[in-house]
Amino acid sequence: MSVAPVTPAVPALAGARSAARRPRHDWLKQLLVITGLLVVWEVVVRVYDVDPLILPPPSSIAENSVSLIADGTLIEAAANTFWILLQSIVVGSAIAVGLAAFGVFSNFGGLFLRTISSIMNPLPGVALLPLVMVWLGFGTKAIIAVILNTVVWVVALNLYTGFQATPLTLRRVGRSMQLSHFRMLKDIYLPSAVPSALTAMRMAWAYGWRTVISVELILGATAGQSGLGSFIFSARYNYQVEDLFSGLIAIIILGLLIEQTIRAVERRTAVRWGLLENNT
Amino acid sequence: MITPERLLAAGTMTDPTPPKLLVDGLAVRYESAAPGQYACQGIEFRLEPGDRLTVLGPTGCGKSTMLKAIAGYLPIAAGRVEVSGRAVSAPGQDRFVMFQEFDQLFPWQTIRSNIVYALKARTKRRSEKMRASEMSTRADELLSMVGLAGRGDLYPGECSGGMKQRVALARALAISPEVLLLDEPFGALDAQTRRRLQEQLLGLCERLDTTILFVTHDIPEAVMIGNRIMMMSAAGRVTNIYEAENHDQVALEEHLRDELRSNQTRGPGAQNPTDASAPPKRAGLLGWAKGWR
Repeated sequence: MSVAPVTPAVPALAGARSAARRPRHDWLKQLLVITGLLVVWEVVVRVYDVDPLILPPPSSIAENSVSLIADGTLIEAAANTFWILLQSIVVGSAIAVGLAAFGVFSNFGGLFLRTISSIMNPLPGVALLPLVMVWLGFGTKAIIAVILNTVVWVVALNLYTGFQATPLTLRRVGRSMQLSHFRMLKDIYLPSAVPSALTAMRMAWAYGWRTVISVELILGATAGQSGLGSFIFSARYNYQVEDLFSGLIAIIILGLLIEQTIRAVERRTAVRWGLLENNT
Repeated sequence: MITPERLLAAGTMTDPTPPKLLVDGLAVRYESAAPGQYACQGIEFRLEPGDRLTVLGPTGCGKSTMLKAIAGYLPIAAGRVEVSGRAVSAPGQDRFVMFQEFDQLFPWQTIRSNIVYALKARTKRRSEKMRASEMSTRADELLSMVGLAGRGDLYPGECSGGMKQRVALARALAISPEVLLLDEPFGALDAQTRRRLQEQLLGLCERLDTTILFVTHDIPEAVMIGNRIMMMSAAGRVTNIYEAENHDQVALEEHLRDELRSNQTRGPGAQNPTDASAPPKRAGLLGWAKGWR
């Protein structure tokens, strides 16, 4: 009887493991699906001679988009919306970190956070707009205030959950090292909560997007700034259906870019540290 | 014939230099337990510099709870804990802990950074100055002491369980506590790795004259590592303390096995003292400073 040789134990590298599991050329297949849909769209529009004021063919939308990008209109609109959203998310996340830390470090803080989040959660952000308009007028401030409201609670609640899920052993290590509250938060709670924080960021961007576009649609051009929402709004007003589609595509592309950025951060942090499986 | 020694009782000696660790009449209550229910009670021992006390006892006898209370993670119901003559209650660097859990390292830092972090925490605590490059060099030294030379750039997620426990040991040495508390640190390792790590720990302790309190349920491990072996009963009381050097190793292991077996049941020694001291503290609804858990 032969004895099977013992294979030496090699520590499995997180990267190598997931690379083997990930289906290859996934993005290529996705591109194929999208191209297929576009071809069908183009053919249908041309064969049935659809009114371009109802549904323009993808080729002319593309052409129109290129000229909108070239003259800077679309870029400016996208940049405006993106900038407002980014500001709100940065400020909102900073407030949320404070609230979540308060929640973890004191009983009252936890109670406060849970209570106020459950009060504010069922309220769609846009519903606050009329009230905010009374308080702050029609400007950028009003838009930011409304987005802040949608961002702060979702991020704070997710972070709070993440902080609470910090392994007891790690907290004890920190206590035995006699770390200050600040270091405990910065060096133990926050890194432990990175998976939750990334989820929070995804939700913040998703909610923020919806809110900022809706608010711009409602305020139209009156907000004194021209974002993607107001761009679409005026495209409808002027019956420029191709512009309308270009605006929608810009929204989709920006959303995808943000998701890719978050995934890249995720690979470099949570996945690398073994806190999350690689699921890209 | 094996006879236990009880010469370690607290307060019986008039040594002018205080012991590294003095545990006197320690009792610990679980928060959920009814008043008067103790996880362990009447614990008394003292550790002189370089002592290695291993603690044995049946599962659930409160040996781990006792260690957590000494570390300052659990409130003390009665008695006192002193480190080098200072009474302690909160966790501190003077009693650093090595856990059984593999997740005791910071997964977001390389293993070198994990040790550098401990060095930073120590120097900050003692208001010492140490340059970043010195810390990095020292961390690499500590890693090679536990047999991980040149592996400093790995993340804990890329290490095996045995490697993680070596890093945890190196980190504990970086803190260089007065007493190192070990809570079944090798309990989750395979037999071969465990053996290697036991030898490594023993070698390092002897070389660095480290004082340790080592909780385990493994008799050969307790006999190999400890110069004293403390046996606890299922009721959470100390039954005997043995000096390893006074006994033949094989005979002592045999004796401990018998004693452990007879300690499995909560015998007549299981009744609890009636001096149920202060009722358990409960944080109020508006307790702002909840404290660390």
